[in-house]
Amino acid sequence: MNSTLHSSLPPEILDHIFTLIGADSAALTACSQVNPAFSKLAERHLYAHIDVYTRKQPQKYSLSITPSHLAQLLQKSPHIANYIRSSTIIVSNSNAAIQLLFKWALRRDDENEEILGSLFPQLSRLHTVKLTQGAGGTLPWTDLHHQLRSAFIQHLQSSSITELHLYGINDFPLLDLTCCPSLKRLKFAHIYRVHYAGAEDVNDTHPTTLLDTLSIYRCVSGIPDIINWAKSPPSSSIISGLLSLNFRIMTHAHMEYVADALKGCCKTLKFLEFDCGENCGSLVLLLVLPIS
Amino acid sequence: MGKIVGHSSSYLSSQYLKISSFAVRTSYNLSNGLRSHAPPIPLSLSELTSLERLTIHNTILYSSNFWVSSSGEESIEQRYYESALPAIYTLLETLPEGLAPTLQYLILDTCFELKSRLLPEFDWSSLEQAFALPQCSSLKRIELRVSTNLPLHWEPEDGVELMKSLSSDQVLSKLIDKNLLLLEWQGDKTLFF
Repeated sequence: MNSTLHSSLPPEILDHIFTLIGADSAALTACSQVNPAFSKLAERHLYAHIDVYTRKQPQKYSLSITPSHLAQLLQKSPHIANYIRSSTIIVSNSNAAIQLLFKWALRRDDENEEILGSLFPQLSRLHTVKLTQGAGGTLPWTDLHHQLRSAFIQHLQSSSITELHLYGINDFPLLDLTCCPSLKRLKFAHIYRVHYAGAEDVNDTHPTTLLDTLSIYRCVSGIPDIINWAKSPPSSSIISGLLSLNFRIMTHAHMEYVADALKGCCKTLKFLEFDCGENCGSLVLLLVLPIS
Repeated sequence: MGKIVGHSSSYLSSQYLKISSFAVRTSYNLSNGLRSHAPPIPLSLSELTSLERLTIHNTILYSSNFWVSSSGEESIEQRYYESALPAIYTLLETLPEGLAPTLQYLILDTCFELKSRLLPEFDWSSLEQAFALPQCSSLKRIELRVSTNLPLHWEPEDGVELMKSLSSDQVLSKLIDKNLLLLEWQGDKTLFF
């Protein structure tokens, strides 16, 4: 590609082409190296979604990066922080049995988690976050570095994050999700349990979460607490305006909680998706049982 | 089961009962024509006054066994399948009555677990009957999204034969012709582990 091509195409057309290239980070990287004008346009798409690994991983389909590399990148090019709209954060697994078998390979990186926590305030345009553990099993939320945890929660409550996915993260404090006014879409998947000690009186001056979409995929013991939390506070529950509910149950006993959730959003719900208990008692259960 | 739980109650921290996934599936014995009725899905849609799209993931299981005595004089062929469609129909009956119906799309994400290539005629009458329900008079279309979970030695192409069979089914083809049913192939979902 040369400068003739650039000068012959309006920026809007180039921008549209880069949109179509989408998740092909290799192609976008190549485009961003053509010239400064291309770089300016391509970078917006190149960094729109990043996978952040708290330990080093090979690059896959999207831009994957470690927190320390991200910190270096943002120090060198601070404007990139504004391009980051979506991020999958892959934290290492600390399952006791898996760590025993693969101690070195799976050792968690506290330093990287701390660095990641310090970067959140810069990511003011981030709207979608997927927090997932790295390699099977589940990871207790409390195992993460305290700075990452507090920065993550603070960012959720104060920023423009509209979508949060939690995969295999146990003991996530649900009450911290009660006052996230921007949060609209929430997904829990492969979670053994959550941390919920009952509804708390929410300060009237603090805007509460009002979800559009709630997805619960194969959460073992977590379903009752998630539903009870979602139905709180009774005056104006988190799901009172819900449009879409999507769930996969792990035991038939969970159906009663789902029925309970339906009552909490019966006037507004437009889209309902569920299984007939097809996966009850399936092998997936073995993968999410904690080993202690 | 009660005894096991009783003996271990003092130290059991968590307990899961494996209840068969076919608890809501009706079983059809094709060899003798018998049909066992399954309990309904323990859910009611009666208060959902705005529901427009309902997606249900379900499984149809088909199996056949052929037994021949050692003398070769006796043989028994057993063919049966299990389907949650009657239970899904019963669930649709719980949609609000007396109000303006809202449901427009019913999506059935259906996985076929096939143990035999000799496909039977599945009973799809529940789908046809769903359009006749007053609660579903707003229903524009049913989408039947088909996937397979095949035995490991089967070829994925066997799913194509299933689609051919479904397309030519009397009930389904009639609904397709009326533009009330969309048949979609989702691929094979066989797990290798």
